[in-house]
Amino acid sequence: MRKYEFRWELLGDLDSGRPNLGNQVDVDLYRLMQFTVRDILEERYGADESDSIFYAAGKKAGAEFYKHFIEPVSSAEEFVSKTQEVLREKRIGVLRVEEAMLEGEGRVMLTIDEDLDCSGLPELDYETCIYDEGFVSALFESFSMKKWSAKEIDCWTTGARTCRFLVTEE
Amino acid sequence: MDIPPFVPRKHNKVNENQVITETLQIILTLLSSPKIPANLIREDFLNDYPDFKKICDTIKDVRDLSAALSVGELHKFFYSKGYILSNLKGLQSNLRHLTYQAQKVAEGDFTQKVDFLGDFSAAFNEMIIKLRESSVKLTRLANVDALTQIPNRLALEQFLVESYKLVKSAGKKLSIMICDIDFFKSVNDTYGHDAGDAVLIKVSSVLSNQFRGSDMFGRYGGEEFMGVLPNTDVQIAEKVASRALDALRTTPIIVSESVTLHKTVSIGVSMSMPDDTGYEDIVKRSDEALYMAKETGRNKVCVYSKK
Ligand SMILES: [Zn+2]
Repeated sequence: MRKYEFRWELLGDLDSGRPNLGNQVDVDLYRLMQFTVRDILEERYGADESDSIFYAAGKKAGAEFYKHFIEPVSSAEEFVSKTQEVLREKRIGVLRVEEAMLEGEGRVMLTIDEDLDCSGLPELDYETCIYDEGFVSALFESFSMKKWSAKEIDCWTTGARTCRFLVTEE
Repeated sequence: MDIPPFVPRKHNKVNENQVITETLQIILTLLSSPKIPANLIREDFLNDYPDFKKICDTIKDVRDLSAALSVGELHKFFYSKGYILSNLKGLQSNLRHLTYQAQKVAEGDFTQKVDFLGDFSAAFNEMIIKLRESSVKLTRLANVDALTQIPNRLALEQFLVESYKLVKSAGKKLSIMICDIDFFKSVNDTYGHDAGDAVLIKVSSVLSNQFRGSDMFGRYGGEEFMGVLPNTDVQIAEKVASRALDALRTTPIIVSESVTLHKTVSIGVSMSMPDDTGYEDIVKRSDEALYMAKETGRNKVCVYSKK
């Protein structure tokens, strides 16, 4: 019997729960939560395992996000434009597509500007948006019903000013 | 979605102290190294000084990426890090995104909008608006009958193809009616072509009004019109046709100051059948029903029935 298995209902009804404070919170605090969880995960399980947990969590979030906010879409174009629209509306980031081959060998390159997880971060010499990698791969998996993986190739933490992901079909 | 005006990201002020410290560190490392031998083997040297190797790699990547960008080569990717290279990568990424958008526009997607690249964005977006307008105009010109301003034969045929797909895939019914103006030739012969045109315009507008938004009524050719009624069985289609006849009977058509005409139409109706192989089969039956209506006195509706 699972105790914490994700359901949207678990997030609660914000309208009735926060009549004065509303449903927005500072990005610092979102990051505080993420970075402290990651800190403890690394302490207990090491960096690699913590990364893989983050990727998996992003993947779960992406799949749920797709079901909740993106569906239904009937074409690749609609999938891309709807995702752009929702990511912007939800203030997650500004998605742009550089190339999109959804059929055949399956290769997509995209950027997320003003990314929620990393924009403004100092240079650290490693890409940090592992949660996003999982998230992005799940969006493509949900749309195409095939296996995809995503790798961040440029990030604020590597000196770039936008996050760039290479998403490929496995 | 309406995209709010784009606010470009501000470039960080360089922390000069940090840059100087870093540069000094590198120089000091190099100075403290044993004298560079005359017969230096480049690879060995770089391996001994990884920081220096990193700088060399970055400079090489900056050099190569800027050269690639200057000639519009957008498929070279570099994996060194750092601010200068990253800014170049940002430009590359924007240009690649723009290429993607231009491809989408070429495929007919006029919703593309650019919100980066400054003045260029405004020009690109303006171009898309103009393209969209002329595309709408051209589509209209191609699909609307110039005289009567109702759908033309091309539009009808496209609609027939789409509607017939639903017959085959979803088992929906499809009814088609063909209407022909009775004794139209005599209008042209007696009152001239302008009068004929006036009759076509009035008849098409009166008949059009009898159809639902999900139907299509258009000019099939000459004095012949067609109504396509998806998801409709023949009894309903017959009612629509009778209503159209009544509406036309009571409408005077003023063709000139001194001449007012009353015109009627004959209508043939039929519906999709299980053995049909295309919408053409239904059109053919409606045509036969129309022929029956003409043969048995005109100004009436005939529904196709097997002889
Ligand atoms: Zn990032």
